[in-house]
Amino acid sequence: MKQLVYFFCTTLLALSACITEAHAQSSVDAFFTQDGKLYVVVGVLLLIFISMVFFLVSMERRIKRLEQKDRNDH
Amino acid sequence: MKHWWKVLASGLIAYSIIAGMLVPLSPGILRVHYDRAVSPGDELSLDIVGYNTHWTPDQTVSAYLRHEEQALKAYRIKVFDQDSVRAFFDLPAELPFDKASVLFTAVVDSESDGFAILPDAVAVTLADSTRGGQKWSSEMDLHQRPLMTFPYRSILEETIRNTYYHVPMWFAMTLLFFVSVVLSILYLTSNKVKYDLASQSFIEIGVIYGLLGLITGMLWATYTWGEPWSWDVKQTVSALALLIYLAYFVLRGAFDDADMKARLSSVYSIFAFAAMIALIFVVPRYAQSLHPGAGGNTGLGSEDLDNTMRMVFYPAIIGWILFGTWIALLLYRIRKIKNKFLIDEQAKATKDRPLDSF
Repeated sequence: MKQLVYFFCTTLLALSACITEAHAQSSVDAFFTQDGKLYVVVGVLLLIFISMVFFLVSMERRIKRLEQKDRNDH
Repeated sequence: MKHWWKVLASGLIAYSIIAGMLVPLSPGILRVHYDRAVSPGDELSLDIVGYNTHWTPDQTVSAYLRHEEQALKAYRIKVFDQDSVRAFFDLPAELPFDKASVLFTAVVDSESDGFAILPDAVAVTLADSTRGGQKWSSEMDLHQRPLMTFPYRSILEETIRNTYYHVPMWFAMTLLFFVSVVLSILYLTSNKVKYDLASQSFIEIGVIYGLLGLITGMLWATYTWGEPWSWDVKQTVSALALLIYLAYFVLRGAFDDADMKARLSSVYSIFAFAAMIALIFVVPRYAQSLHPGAGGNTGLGSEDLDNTMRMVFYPAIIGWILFGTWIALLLYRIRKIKNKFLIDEQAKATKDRPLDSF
């Protein structure tokens, strides 16, 4: 599992490095300085999405605790 | 299919994200520029920067200065780019209003985009000049704006799309809290622990929605109101309402006796709902607010929500309500397993003494 996470992270890092290399920093800058403030909407959507993921993780932890308790009882 | 409403929830949320992000804004004016103070009788050349506009030199593009019923059409206009024009005005000798200074709205009209406006774009201040130029007129010949666009409003600009992501959080939160009140009442009348557990689950996801509404609102405010927290009435009262609901969980934690815990927190949740309604839906009506719907006006007016926006806004609300119900039922199932012993005991007790359940 841990190896999988490492693999995933390094791939992601390498990919993002490639992308920034190719487009240069300017495309990111352009997104945040463009007229219209679309980045605020993207930020709001990301906030909602990330919070929901955290909530799912907390729910999974609760279920895990119940499963452990169940295993101990038997 | 039993789970159709979960599919519907996901579909509606996906639709609100896709449609809410893809439908373009109607053409607008981002900013205007002129290099000195303007008085009646002056020659004015106005640089206008458009947003989502497609101005071209080979179509009729006209510009106006307008205040209330009085307008002045630019005698010449130069199109540089699809979103950049320069308009030339020769201002009349006097202002058509009995004021020392008037803020005029800039209007650019074209065949391709209809009219785009920027309120309070040009300030014209009285000075001693008697040179006369063009004449004020009440006539403006404007083209239709494109259909299927979200309204362009200065300062808000693209962030008007947050109406489909920030506002439904509050609408859905209110409904989830309402369901929790119904469940609390059911508990108090039937004494069945499962209703209390369900009520608690609805409150939990409701609080999550409320917190999300609060932080997304703060992010939005940073870029439109200038700061994340400006002690706006609705900001303040919704934070208060959330604190009341957070105290619900503190209250639950304070009791060891299961029966006492369920009974008192049910009563508390009913009062918390009443307080929330008073705070969020009544107080802001009597105060000035940066939010729409303040000062006696109910909810969102046509300025804030037009028919195209409604087509995304209402599905988003239904989607988030159904999604919240889904999560609440999952939380309820977790709690039911956790309190299995309690529920079984109660079921056994009612079986032994059936009269007690009435």
